[in-house]
Amino acid sequence: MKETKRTKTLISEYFIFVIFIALVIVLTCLKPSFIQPGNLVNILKQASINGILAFGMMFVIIAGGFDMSVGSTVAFTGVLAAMLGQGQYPLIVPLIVAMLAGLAVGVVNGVGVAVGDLPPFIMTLGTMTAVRGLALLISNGKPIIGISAEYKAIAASSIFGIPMLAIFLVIIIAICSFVLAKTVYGRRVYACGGNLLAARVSGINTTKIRISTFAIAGLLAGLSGFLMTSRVTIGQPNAAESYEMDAITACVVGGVSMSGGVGKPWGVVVGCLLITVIANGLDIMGVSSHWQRIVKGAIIVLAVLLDIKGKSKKH
Amino acid sequence: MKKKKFLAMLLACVMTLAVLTGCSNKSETTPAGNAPASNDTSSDGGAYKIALIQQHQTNAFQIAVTEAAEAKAAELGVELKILSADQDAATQISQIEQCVTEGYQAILFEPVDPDGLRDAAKNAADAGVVVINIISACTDWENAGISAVSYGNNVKAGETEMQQVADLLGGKGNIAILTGPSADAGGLQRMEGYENILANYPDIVQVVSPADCAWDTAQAQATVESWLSAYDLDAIVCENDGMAVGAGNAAGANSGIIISGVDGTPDGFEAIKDGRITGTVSQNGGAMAANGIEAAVTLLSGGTLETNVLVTDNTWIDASNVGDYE
Repeated sequence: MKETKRTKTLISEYFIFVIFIALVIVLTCLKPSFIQPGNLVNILKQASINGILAFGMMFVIIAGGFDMSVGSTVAFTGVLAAMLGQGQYPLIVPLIVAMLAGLAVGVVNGVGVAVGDLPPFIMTLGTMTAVRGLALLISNGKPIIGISAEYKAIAASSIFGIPMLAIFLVIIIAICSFVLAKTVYGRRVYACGGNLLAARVSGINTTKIRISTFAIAGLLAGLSGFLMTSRVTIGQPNAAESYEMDAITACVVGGVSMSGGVGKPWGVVVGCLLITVIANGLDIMGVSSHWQRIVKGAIIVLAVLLDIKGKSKKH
Repeated sequence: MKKKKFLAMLLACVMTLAVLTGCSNKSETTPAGNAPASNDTSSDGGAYKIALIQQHQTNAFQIAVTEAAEAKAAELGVELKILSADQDAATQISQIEQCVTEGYQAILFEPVDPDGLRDAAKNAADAGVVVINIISACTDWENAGISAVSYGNNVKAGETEMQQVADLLGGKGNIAILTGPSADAGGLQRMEGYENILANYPDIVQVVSPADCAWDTAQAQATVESWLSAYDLDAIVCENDGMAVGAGNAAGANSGIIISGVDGTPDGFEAIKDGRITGTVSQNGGAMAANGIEAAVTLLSGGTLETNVLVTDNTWIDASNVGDYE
């Protein structure tokens, strides 16, 4: 009796992982080339940018917020990085500038939400629109071409067969997981999301914490913008449309609750891989993009459904 | 109370900024001369007032349109106002109505939707404004009071592209197609061109159904990466240069796979030069806009047009002639 109950709880907790493994098995059966090392490398490359954004988003959602602007920030910082990455400066310059620009957008979001008391949806909707406009303005509406060969090499190179993009992702995962799980700051982030009033009353500076989570999301969006430009070799002002939706999907599917206070890093990793594998697998099978959207939408709804059901069971 | 005051001041500053931006835009689009009356290239002593309403201004093709229009307006001494409808039909209709009210003598526009904008065009024409479609035309434009059209031909562009690919393939091979957003008129027309040519080549096979990559480079790159691990492709035909660049990134320079695009934008040229893509079909939006403005001025000064269908040719550009087009 206890045994089946224990297995049931295990499965419900790790349900998303089970789904992921099942999907990989099904895809491999349908198309054996899916599991080829070449394609696995593709999956890692394709998951990296979404993964980095998802981890930034994770901080924001766990603290009880919501950030719609990361896609626009990726485009804006990507254009900046492309303009500075033509070979006139060492690569560290576009990287730092992109991350600082992202950080600035994040701080604006954070101040609006935590100090101005604006609902995160409205604040980040505003920055999403304005920052996209900034991207178009500084690029004059055209993609920025002519980035240096070294800059292109960042996204194209690999170490021992593992693409550089994936290495960036792994480093970010490691840092974020450590911060969330093992530091006082991390615990405070969870506290803010779990119950903001209680957190404030217990002496946590919730304003600072909330601003910092948006700042982290912006910072990581800046890093993503830098990497994105390297990968596609141009700074596109129209890039990253709806990337915020993918980042939120990765978090939600990975067990981060939209009401805040709940979420594990490994879940976000699985969520991100799940989305990437769906897109990659459906592309390999030659499925039309229309069907892909339907499948993606269904998965989001199912994942949140399971999340809600799991919560109500616990009570 | 303090917060409210601060917010109110912030809002006032933002609104002032918006007004200033609006004012500076107006003065930017008026070429030589500050007051309209000081331009005397038209017989009645004032510069013609012409409005250009673009579908959007967010890619290199459209920017080429903007720049060519401004240059031609400066050359002919007309006062040109340029607006962007941001891909929204309702916005474009309002903009046309506004331009009529403000006394613009000619309106050039690229319809966001060929049917949805027809009535607005007719109303403007009935009010005595010279209406010209550029880049693409409204449905049944001849009977909607539209005086002329100055466009390329997306169907022909598609045909030129696919024919080049078919020739390079020697008439047989595995291909895949990347399309723009599914309901996009320009994209659908290019696909029509592809299909017209493919009908003659039964040995050219599409091994996957066309993928909608929404004109986006990153999406195209991810899709083609996935394809290349599962399929043997001899050619990838893309409905625009942005996606062709993505496909070229995925395949790598000089991969042996024929990759083609449409539009002839700087990112496409860069990719042709370093061997990532094979070629593109230039649409020369700038020429379409410039011809449209010339036609408007001819009509406004009482002349007649030799033909009111001004077609700009499309050209295949590859490594052999890319230098001429940059």
